[in-house]
Amino acid sequence: MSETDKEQPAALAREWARLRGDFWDLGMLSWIPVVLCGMLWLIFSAGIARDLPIVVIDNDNSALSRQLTRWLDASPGMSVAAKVASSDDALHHIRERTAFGYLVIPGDFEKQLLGGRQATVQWLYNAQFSSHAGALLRDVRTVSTTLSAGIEMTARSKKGMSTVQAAAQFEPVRTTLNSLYNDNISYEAFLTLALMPAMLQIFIVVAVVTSIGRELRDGTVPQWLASANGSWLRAVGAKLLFPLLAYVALALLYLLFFSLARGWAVAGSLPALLLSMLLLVLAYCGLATLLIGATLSLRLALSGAAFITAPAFAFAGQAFPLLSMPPLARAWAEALPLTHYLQLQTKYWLAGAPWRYGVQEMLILAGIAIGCGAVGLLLLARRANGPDAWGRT
Amino acid sequence: MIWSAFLATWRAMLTDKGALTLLFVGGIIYSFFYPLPYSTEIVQRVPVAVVDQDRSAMSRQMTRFAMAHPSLEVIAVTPDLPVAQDLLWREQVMGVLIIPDGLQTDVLAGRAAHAQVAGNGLYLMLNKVALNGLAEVVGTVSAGIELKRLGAGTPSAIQANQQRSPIAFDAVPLFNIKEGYGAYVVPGVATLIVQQTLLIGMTMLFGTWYQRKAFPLAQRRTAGGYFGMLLAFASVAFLNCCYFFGFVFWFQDYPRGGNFGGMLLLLLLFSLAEAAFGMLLGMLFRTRERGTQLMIATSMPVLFLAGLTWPVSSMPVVLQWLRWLLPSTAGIQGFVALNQMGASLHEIRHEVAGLLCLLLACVALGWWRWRRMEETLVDLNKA
Repeated sequence: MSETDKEQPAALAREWARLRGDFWDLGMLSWIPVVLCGMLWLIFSAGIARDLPIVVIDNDNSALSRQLTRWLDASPGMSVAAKVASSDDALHHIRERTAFGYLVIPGDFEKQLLGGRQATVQWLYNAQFSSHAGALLRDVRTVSTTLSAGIEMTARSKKGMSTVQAAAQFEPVRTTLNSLYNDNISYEAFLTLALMPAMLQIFIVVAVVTSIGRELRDGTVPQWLASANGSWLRAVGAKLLFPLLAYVALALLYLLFFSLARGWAVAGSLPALLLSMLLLVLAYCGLATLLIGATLSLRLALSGAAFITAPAFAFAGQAFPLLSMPPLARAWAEALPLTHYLQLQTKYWLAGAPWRYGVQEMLILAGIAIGCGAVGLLLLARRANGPDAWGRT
Repeated sequence: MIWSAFLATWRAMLTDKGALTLLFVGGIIYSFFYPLPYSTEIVQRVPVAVVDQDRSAMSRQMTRFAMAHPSLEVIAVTPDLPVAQDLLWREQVMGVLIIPDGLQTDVLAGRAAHAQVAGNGLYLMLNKVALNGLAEVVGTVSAGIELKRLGAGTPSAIQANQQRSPIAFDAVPLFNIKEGYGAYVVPGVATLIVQQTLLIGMTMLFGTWYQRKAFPLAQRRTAGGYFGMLLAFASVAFLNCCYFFGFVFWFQDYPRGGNFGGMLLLLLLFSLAEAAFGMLLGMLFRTRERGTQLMIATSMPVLFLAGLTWPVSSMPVVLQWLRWLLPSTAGIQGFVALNQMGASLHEIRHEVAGLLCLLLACVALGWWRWRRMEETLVDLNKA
C-alpha cells in the first residue's frame, strides 16, 4: 500500500507535467470541447426553425387566395418572401435557396370554392433540403386545412346547422396528435442533446490514444513504465485518469447546462443517467486503449479514431432510425457504445423512464469498457515495451 | 519553378504513408461507409401499439386499418395504457393510437368523438411516420362515417367528398423526388469528407516537415514554390471531388448532373480555396498529429454550419457570418445547388463570391506566412 502511494503519483505527476507543457493537448481536455460543444448548441439554440422563406404563385388574386397567402405569411414557421408570376420564377428562388418551396393557387380558386366545388392547391418543395421542407410541409398543410375547414363550416351553417352540430358532422372522429416528450419538435431537445455525447466520444478516444500513443511514437515506454513502478495497470491507469476526470466533468457540465439553464429537466431516473454517462466515458476509454494497443501506432490509432468516432452519430439511430438500416450498418451501430448510451439518455432524460428500463444497455456499455480495456491493456503489456513497437509514424 | 514545386509536393504526398492513406484512400473508404446506414433511404413499417378502450366495432375497424397500413406495424393491441407506456420506454413501439371508451357511442349519437395519436417526439423520422400513419387510419374511418352521412343528403359520392374537404392539398417534392435520406445528407457530407481528409493530410505533412525541420521544396520562399504546392494540393481536392460527384453519386443513384459546366468552374475555385486554406492552416502546426486531432473533433460543427440540415436563418447572426470562413460552407451549398438542383452560376453567385474572397484572403495570409516560414524554422533550431 505504501509503495502504491509512493509510486502512483510519480506516473500521474509525469502525465500532468506532460499535459501542462502541451498547450493543445491540455486544450483538448478543457476549452476546445467546451468551445465546440458551445458552438453546436448555438447553431441549434433557436430550437425551432422560424420564418423559412417560401414564394406563392397566386393565379387567382381573389379575396380568398389573398387570405391564404396572408395566413401563410402569418404562420410562425415561414414567411412569404415574394409573390411570383410563374414556376420558372419560383424555381429560380428555390435554386438560389432564397425559398424552400412554393404554393400554386389555381386561377379559379375562389369561384370553385364559392360554388361548392373542390379546388386544388399545389405545394412544391425542395426535398433536397429535407429538414427545411419537413417543417414547411407541416405548416403549409395546417394553414390550407384550416382555411378548408372554415369554408366547409360556413357552407354548413348556411344550410342551417348550428356550429357545434356542423363541427361534429364534418369530422365525426377527431384526432389529437401528440409528439411525446418533445411537444414542439424542438431540435434543441432532439438533436443538440444527442450531439453532445457524440462530440464527447470523439474527444475521449482522441485524448486517450494521443496520450498513450505519444510514448510509443517517442520510444519513451521504459520511462513511462518505470514511473508506474513497472505495473502496466498503473501506467495505463495514470494515462486514463486525466481524460476520465476531464470528460466526466464535461458530461456533468452539459447535464447541468441543459437541465438547469435550458430547462430540459431530467424526467426519469437521475442516478441512472449519471451512471450511464460514467459508463459512456469508461467504454470509450476502454475502446481507445484497445485501439492503441492493437495498432501500437499513434497515426493508425488516430485514423481508427476518425473512422469510428466521427461518423458514429450517423449510425447511432437518432437522426435515421436503426430499424431502417441494412443488417451490416445495424451491426456496426450496435457495436458502438454511443448507440447504446443515446438510448439510455433518451429514456432517462426526456422520456422519463425509471432506472430498470436501461439495465441491458448499461450492461453492454460496462461490457465494452471492461472487455476492450482488458484486451487493450493486455496487448500493450505484451507488445509495447520493445523497440519494435516504437517510433511508428 | 511552379512545375518542380508541384512535382516535389506530389512526391512528398505519395511517399508519406499516412498522408497517402488520408488523401487518397480515406475518401474512398468513407464513400462506401458513410452512405451505408441510409441505403434503404426511407422509413417503413414503424412499430406501433393500439390502446383499445372502446372494444367496439368501430375501434376494431380502426385496429384493422392500422394493421393494413403500409408504413405501420401493429405489434400490440391492449386496453391498458401502462402496457403502451412500457413498450414506449422499451423503445419497442414508436407510436400509440388511443381509442377511448365511448367513442362509438359518441359517434352514433352525433357528438364529436376524439381519438388520440401519440408518437415518440425524440425520434423525429419515426415520430413523423407514426403520427401520419395513425392519423390517416383515424381519418379514413372518420371519412367513411361522414361520407355515409353526407351521402344521404347529396346526389353523388364525388360531390360528397368535395364538400367534405373544399381545398385539396397536393404536395410535390422537387429534386430529391424519392425523398431519400441518404440522397439528402450524403451529397453535402461528400464535400465535407473531401475537405476534412485533405486538411488532415495537409496538416500532417506540414507538421512532419516542421518536426523534421525538412521541407520538400528546394527554394522555399519563392512565389513559384508557394503556387506549385498550392496547385498540387488543389489537384488532390479536385480528384477527390471528381470521384464523389462522378462515381459515388452515380453508384448510390443520388440526384445528380444538374449543371456540369458550372460544377467544373466551382470545383476549380473550391479546390484552390481548400488548398490555400489548408496551407495557411498547415503552417500553424508543429507536430504531425495535431491537425488530425482537431479535424476529427471539428467535423460535426463544420457540417451543421453549412446550413444543409438546419436553416442558416435560424442560426445566431454571428455564426451566419463566421461560417463563411470555412471553404466547406460555400462548397456544400454550391455543389448541392449545382449537382442536385441544377442551379445556374448566377444562382450560386454568393457561394462563388464567398469562395473567391476566401481564396484571396488565404493566399494573401498564406503567402505572408510562407515568406516568414524559414525564419521560424531557424528560430526553432536555435531553441
